[in-house]
Amino acid sequence: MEKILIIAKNEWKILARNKIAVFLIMVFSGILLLAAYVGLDLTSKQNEVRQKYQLEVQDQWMSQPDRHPHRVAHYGYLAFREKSALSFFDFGIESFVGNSVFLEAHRQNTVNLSEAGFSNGMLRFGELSMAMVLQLLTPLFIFFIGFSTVASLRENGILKIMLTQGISMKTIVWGKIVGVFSFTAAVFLPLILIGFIGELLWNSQSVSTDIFIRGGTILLLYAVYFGICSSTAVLVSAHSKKAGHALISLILIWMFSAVIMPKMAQTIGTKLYPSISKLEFEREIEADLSQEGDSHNPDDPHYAAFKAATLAEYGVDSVHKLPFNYSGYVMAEGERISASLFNRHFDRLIHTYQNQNSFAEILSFINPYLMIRNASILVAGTDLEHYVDFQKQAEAYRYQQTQWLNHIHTYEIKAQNDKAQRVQNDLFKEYDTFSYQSRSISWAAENKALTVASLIFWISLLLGTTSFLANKSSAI
Amino acid sequence: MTPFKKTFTLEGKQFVRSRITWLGFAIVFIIGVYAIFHGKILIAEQQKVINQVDAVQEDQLRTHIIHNADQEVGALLYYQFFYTKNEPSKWAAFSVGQRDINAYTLKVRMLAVEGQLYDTELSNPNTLLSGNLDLSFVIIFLFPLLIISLCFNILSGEQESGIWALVASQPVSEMKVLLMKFLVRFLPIFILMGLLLTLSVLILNLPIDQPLFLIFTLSTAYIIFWFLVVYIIVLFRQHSNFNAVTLLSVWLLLVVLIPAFANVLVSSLVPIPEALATAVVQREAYHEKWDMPKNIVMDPFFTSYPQYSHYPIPEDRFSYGWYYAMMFAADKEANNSSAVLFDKLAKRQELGIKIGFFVPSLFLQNQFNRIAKTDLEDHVNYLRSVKAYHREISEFFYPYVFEAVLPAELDWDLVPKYSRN
Repeated sequence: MEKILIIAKNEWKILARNKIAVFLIMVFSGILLLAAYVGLDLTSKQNEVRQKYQLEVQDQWMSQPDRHPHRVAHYGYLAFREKSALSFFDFGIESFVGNSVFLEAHRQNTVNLSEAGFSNGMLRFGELSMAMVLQLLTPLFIFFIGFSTVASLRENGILKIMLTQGISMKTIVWGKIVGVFSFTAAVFLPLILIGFIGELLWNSQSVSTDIFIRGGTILLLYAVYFGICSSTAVLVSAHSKKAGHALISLILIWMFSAVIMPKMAQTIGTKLYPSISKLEFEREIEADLSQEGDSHNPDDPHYAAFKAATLAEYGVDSVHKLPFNYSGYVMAEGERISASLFNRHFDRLIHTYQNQNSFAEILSFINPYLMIRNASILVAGTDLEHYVDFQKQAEAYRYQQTQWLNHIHTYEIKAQNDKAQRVQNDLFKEYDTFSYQSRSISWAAENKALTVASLIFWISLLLGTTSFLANKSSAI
Repeated sequence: MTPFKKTFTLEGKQFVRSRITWLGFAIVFIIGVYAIFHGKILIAEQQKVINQVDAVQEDQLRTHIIHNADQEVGALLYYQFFYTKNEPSKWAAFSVGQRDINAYTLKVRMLAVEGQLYDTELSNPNTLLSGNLDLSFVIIFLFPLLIISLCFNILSGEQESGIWALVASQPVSEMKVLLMKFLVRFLPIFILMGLLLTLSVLILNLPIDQPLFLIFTLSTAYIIFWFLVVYIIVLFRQHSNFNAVTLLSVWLLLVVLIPAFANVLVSSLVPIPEALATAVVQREAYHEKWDMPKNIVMDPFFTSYPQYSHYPIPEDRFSYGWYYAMMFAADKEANNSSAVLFDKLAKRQELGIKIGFFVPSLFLQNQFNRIAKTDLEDHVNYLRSVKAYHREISEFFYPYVFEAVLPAELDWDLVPKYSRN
């Protein structure tokens, strides 16, 4: 153990003297800080705009005149999606999903106006975020400072001398790994911390226990990632005759895992689990609706039966004799059917997406880049699960609001001359505004067992096989 | 055989015998073919959806005519969608661009149009995020990597093994030998590119015309650019490791970091709060009219459409003429922020093109997407055409709405069909 630390310490000295390494650190730190600034600035600006319009929508809701409840149901509500506190760190799918959704009666509108829709395509090269720099660039930095660690000792014969002095290969490899890892961690983890502090200062309202847990988890995640990259660099170096070969092998590994495989994985996933288009999605719901009961069809059997049952229940022979307004009552039934149908189809669609993504999740057991990418967006709250959660919360709000208005329609509006009546606006003011209930990290982790498992897998692999592989490399 | 030819053949033999060479070519070739099929399948799926649109509209219309048979046509028009299609160009499969992000079968009702233009297609955000693996990606991203991996040690490798000292002692010029070594690598890479383009022409059924020639020229120029980059770095006569790291950094800078930064720059230089504003303004503009005197809606409408001003609008109750005039009013009020939005989109596009002149990877992507009609500009044009179509539909139905005809009294075959431009 002591020997490992001595070797690691020595590695620090070598690195501190390496001018290119120092230069790269400065460049990468600069890029990382720039990314932090850009992320913080963009996130806070976008959230500001959304909060502004959310307030405006709420003001408009509060100051609406006396209205017929069904008018209010069509007036509806506009919900804007706020970015999660850590989205400045990892943009995840943020730019590719919509930001505003119109919530109204009878209809589940799509979440619209994504950044990507307003981009001319540059977005496809990637987005400058801290996570992107850390995931894509730090491995290259680690490979660069790590490729020669053992191979150069072998090239100039020092390795033999060390081994004859009784230092085992295992000790040397571990020492080098610890050296490269601790050096990288010492440089980059504080920079992540600076980003987090920036977020807390910039957005003081984002301070919460969950943020600290998520932030801490991100630090841990990237530490593990640096560990994996450091081990890879040193182990490849230990198995290469020449340092140059080690570098080329490492670069090829990087190209394949960080550039080629992620894209391939996703396209293959979508081929394995084809998803339907919006047109088909809507057609399927329409078809089911006409099966289960279409309130717009005057001859619909379900509604005929519904009417008969209602009349029987109240012992009357005409809807006009009911003690409430039947048109509000039947609207509530229509909403119930169409909403549950929509939810069923929506869940199925999301399930297909999850299956498509699971291909990349399974590959994250062999590709640490995919592991960190999936785990990072999960912790930052910028993955599909969090987005779907927003959609579901918005739909739940829409449904409850619509049914509440249908209830008012049924009991506060007389059936006779229905459309000309209005309800006092005070009543509408009671209704709570939409606000997204943010989720804890444990909720997120429960939803993504595969990603969590791959993280645990990599940690154990890191500790286990490094010792094993270190023993197998030779001195010459 | 001249000494030049002899060394050329020798170098070629050596190059061909290297395992790395074959591996590199095989990987890029296989991914290239995969990419062509990926683009083909993706666009074919979109085409399949586009082809269903007419039948869906017909079918929905038939149902609505039955359900609303005894009501004036205004009632039916509330439910009836009219579909538009953004047909893919022939080259879309080569460079999918923004086509997977933007909607390509927007449907509009006679309601206010601003709220209907930005409906998104349903798609997996993770798929959008990881982007398309089409042939344009292979050319822009992977060819430079192939060039770098085959050439980074073109000189340093020989120096490190001591061979270059022998070469230098020969009567031939060092420069000539170096250029010849580059030529040995350039030719197969050029042929690989030509091969992949030929395959895409065959697989995607592309016409042999000006766009093909343009794409070929641009791709060739791009490859030459990357050879030049490698050439310049090699001339520094540094160690192989240095070359590898430097070239990779240049690649990262040109293909990842600068475009990523440029994207952020464009988003913050041209922010688009109007997108949200349009949605808010249009909703309020429409709904407030319900609670206002009818003439506030009707007067501006009759100014634009005086031919309907003789129709009486009842003050105390609902009428469809008034209803659709409210939609007209809402669009008119949202027109300002909508126009600003369109201007800003054009500005973003323009800025992206400008930055592209300094960044080869961006330049190439911009050009490919422009040729394939898969860029933002094309989508904005599509949106404009949808707006125009919405107006056409509205104007077609106004007379029937004001006349309050029954659905059966209308010749539905006369309804204008959507066509781009």
